Amino acid sequence: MIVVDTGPLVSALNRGEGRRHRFAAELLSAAMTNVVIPWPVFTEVDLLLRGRGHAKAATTFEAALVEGVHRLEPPTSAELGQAVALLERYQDLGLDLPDAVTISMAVARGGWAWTWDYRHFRAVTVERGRGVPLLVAEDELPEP
Amino acid sequence: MTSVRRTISLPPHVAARIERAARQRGVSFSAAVADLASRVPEELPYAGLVEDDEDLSLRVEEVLTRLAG
Repeated sequence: MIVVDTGPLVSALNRGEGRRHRFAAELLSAAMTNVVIPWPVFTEVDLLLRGRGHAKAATTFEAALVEGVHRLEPPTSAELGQAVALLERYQDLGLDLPDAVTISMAVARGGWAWTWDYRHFRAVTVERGRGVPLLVAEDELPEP
Repeated sequence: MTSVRRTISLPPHVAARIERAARQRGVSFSAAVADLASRVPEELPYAGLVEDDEDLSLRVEEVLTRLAG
């Protein structure tokens, strides 16, 4: 199971990102219902798209989730509690809610976190000092 | 598994090929069509819908902060 952050979804939507776009779109296409989109990530994608003048694309993306292309899920109470604990612990780092929820859901569900935000995700440690399990390592991030 | 009924039109040579394949496998025409369709990779319906900056996905926070300001 893959818990995806905002960056890879934006890459899949944005053909201006060249190879990074194709990489993200192919991976999401291959994983489909094995991809979990946390609600805070969903709203961040929506805000970004609409803020950049891509309202129609935002609606198409949202309709795809209604159809069940990926799994749009809220964090459980325990996952939200873990996310809040991470936000407190990493306040100085500038970790935000979508990041923290992506991490807590991936860890609690034994899945992979998929992000381009390596600065935040690399710095966070979870159970017993372990790092966040990342689906795509920083050196695997394709250039456009 | 539940099924839905659809009426489709096919070119004769395509229909003949599917009928032949169905006979060889001992399945119905509908089952052969369903099997073929299930092998088509699903497309990502939102892929490539926008053309924006090549580093947009790496600057999400920065862009959102600017939009909020």
